[in-house]
Amino acid sequence: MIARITFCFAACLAWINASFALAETLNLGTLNEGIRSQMRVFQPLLTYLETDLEDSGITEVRLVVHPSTELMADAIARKEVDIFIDSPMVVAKVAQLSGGTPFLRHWKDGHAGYYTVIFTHVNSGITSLEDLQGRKVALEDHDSSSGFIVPVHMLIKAGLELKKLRAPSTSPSGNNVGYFLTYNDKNTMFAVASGRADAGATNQIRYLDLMEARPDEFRILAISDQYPRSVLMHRPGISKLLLDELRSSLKSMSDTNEGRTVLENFQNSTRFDEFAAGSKYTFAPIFEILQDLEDAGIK
Amino acid sequence: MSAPDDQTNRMLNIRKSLTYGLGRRMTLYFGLMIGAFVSTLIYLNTITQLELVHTRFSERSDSLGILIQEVTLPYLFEGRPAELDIIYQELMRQPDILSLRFIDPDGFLLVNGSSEGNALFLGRVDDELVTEAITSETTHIRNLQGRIQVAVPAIYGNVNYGTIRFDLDGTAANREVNLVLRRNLMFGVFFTLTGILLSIWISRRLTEPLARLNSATERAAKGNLNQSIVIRTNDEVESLADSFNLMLGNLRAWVKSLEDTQTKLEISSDDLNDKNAELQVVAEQAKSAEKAKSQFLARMSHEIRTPMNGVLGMTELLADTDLTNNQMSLVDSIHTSGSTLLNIINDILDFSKIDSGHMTLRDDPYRPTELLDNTAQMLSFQAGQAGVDLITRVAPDLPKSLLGDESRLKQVIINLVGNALKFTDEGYVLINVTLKEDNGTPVMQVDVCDTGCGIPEEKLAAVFDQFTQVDGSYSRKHQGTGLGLAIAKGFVELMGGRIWVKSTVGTGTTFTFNVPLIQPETPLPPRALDSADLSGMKILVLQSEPTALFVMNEMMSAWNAQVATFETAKTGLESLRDAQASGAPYDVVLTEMGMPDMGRKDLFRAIYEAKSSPDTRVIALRPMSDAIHRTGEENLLSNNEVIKPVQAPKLLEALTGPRARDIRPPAESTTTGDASATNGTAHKHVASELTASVSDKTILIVDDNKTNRKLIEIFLNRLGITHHSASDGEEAVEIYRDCHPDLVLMDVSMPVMNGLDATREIRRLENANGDFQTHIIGLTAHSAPEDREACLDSGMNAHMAKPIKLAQLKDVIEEL
Repeated sequence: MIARITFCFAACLAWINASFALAETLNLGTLNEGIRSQMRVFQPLLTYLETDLEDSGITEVRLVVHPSTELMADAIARKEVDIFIDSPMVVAKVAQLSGGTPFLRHWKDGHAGYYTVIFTHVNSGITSLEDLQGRKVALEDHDSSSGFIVPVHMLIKAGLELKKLRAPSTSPSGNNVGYFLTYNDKNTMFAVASGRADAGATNQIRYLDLMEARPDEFRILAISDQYPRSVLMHRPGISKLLLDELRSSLKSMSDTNEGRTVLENFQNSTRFDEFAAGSKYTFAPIFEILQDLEDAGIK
Repeated sequence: MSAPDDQTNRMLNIRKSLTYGLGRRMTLYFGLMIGAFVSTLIYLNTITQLELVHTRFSERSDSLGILIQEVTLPYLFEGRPAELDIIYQELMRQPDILSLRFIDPDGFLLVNGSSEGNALFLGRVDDELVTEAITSETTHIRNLQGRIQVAVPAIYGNVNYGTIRFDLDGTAANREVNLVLRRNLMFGVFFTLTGILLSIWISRRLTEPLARLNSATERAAKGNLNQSIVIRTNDEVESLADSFNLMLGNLRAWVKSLEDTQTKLEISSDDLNDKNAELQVVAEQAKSAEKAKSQFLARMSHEIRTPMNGVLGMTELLADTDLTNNQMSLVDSIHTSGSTLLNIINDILDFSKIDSGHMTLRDDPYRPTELLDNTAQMLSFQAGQAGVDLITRVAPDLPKSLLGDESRLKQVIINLVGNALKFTDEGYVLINVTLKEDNGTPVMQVDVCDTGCGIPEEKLAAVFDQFTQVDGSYSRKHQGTGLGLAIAKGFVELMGGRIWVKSTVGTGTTFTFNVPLIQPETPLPPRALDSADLSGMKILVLQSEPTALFVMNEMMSAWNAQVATFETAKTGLESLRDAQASGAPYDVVLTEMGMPDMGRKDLFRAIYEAKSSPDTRVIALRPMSDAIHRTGEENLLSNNEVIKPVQAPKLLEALTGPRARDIRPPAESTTTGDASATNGTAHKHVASELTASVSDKTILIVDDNKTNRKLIEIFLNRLGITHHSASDGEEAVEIYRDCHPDLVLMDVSMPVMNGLDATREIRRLENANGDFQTHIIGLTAHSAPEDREACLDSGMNAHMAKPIKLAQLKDVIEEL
């Protein structure tokens, strides 16, 4: 009798254990200030994946938002985030900190890649990057690829010395290029358009919008190399089976109407695909940029 | 009737039928009142609710604008409008916010709450509302096609940071407005219908007793009085119903009383019919009596007149014998009384005929001058006896020939003049015939003016009444039946004229009558008188009466004579002497027999001496009475004389005819003076004139009255004329067969065979035998036209009214 009861108890424990092993949660992460707005953006994708990966034992797909790369890297390290989605520079930084690996390219607005544009108002008297000495430049924030990392790298490479201003109204000292953060590419454009900044940096898509809205008012000072528009990174130690299932699911989204609809509702995405030249080759120059910035003392 | 009038009438009829009845009218009025009341309330409520809706949405817009502004401004201060996208998108999650944008002062889009909007960041926005908001720096709200468009300027301090521009879903407001309208309309309809139903119920409740009362009244109007109505409404209608029941009760009693009265009336009516029948019988009897009376009067007058003819005729014959003065006086009285009696009888007969409507008139041509002359001639004796001048005048413009009943006109004038002469003691009576117009119709007007005592004004109205005389004293003084004026009035009115009188007591009276002036188609032949020409003849007229002088002057002037008139002998004689001395003496002196300032003999002596020329003829104007009583000496005072009243033919004859005699001046003194001769002498003179001629003719006298026959027989014997007598028509025919008389004096009313039948028989015999026509003169009691016509129709040659005037008979015999 005791043996029978012991057997039943053991069987229940085994069943419970098996049930927990099968009930796996997939956590997607992104950088942002507000969870609510990001939830609205990510919800279609989360739902889609939850359904599509059900057979793979994924019972729930959740979104994790952190405001900085450091916090996101910590979360990935603690396995609280399985998949991180962001611009390539940010992903590269998080990957350096967390050990994660970029594995898919994320198309947005029909573009697989993008580049940074440093622009100024046509009436600013600035015609080259060198003219920015002693001027103020509006940049997005430290975690923005096209709004901060790439343009700063371009300025440094142009031999300019950058100095962060305490406030947008503060003037830079000497020949330094003073900069302040706008925390949004629209704010950057607004700062240049309203004269708060002598120049600004954004991606070519925003710039084209600006040119369409206010043609002939702005001038491009420099254009960067092209970088992936957005990329997905997985945490180290993620199940290969799950990663394959996820890769397969994401890449096949653009093949179905349902998937395309979800893509469109998710940051106006077009598709997910593999890096054409491979992840390592694509991210090698990006890591160099990050290294250059670190060398320049800019984080 | 025109189309618009038809339409108007149709509308009025429809309106009338729609508003007929108190119930309908109350329903209509209450319904209209409730409808107006509910409509007003609903309208006010709707206005209020709509105002509340608009206020709420306006406040919502304002509060939302303020909220967005409070959220927006900090980000704008920091130059971070991009963060507002999320906030705006969150705000837009509210269902009523359709769009939300922030536009900078330069019109560039900074924030767009719509992630799917096409507007580009920093793109230029052309929005009129934004422009207005920026310009005015106040919130602008506009409702356009279901969108409430709001523009809120974001002003902080004196800095304008831009404009918050958002659209609210106006359909919600519209829905609320529609809801309010629908709800209020529903309430309005509900309350109006309820009010109408309530008013119908109230009006029925109020009018139902009235309708019952009305039905009861209609039944009562149709005669159903045996009913009563019970209404218990505790109001005036109940009181009215009680009064109605009481009224019906009274009506029933009254109808019963009426029926009783009607029964009595029917009985009375039957009685009345009986009485009417009796009255009709009595009326018939009265008519018969009236007829009998007329017949009696006619017969009586005939019967009286026949002996009266005898009396008067015998009196005339008696007067023609040798009588003493006393005897002659008595004979005169007999003749006068008889004549008066005869006149009275004639008056009564005339009046009786007029009164009964049996009087007929003739329409023969006559000469007004002859009418007046003849009438005046008939009245001359009476005028002379009254000592009054009778003056006649016919206006020159009056037609010479007229159509009418001359004898009746004559009778009217005689009656009026006779009446005037009765009441005139001195002065004159003027008969003035003139042409006048009465109500636009030409009339012959006859005025009979006298200078008598006059008639008191209060008596004037009754002078034409029958058997009326002015007063007792006059009646006593002046004899008469009182029928003369009534007969005159009857004749005048019968002729289509009118008669009236004017009088002043102490001055005189004027009776006037007129008759329509009708001229004959064939006028009577003119007389020599009408074309007389006395050109170159100088005539001196001496008359004391100015009216007579005027008439005389007018008459002779019409003949172109040179007339000089004088009212006094002294002035006339002076003119006569002057004319003689100047070598242009008067051809004629026409003078009265005496003037107030000079006696008869002195006058004629003075005329004789003054005229000196034998060529100047003296014509005396002598009254009839004077002519009868004149002496032989007086005949020598004038070459000719004219008996008054002056008749134009006689005057003309005297003026133009040969001198009757030479004159000599009267003796200085005379034993006879102006005194008149005895009546007996005068009458003898007249009688001798009648016996002046004899005839060899044979005359048949036919009269059933022995006295009448005797009268004519005596007269004819005196004339020495052969005659036969018959007492009836049959005897007359027999005598006619035997002796074929030259003249038959045929009485009309006779026994056995009347005069008319006898005449017809004689004429028949004449025609049968081819004999010459015997002259037959009918004799009737009265000269009525119908009598005359009957005589002529029977074949008689002429007609003569009784009593026969012997002189008239003599003239007839002489004409044979």
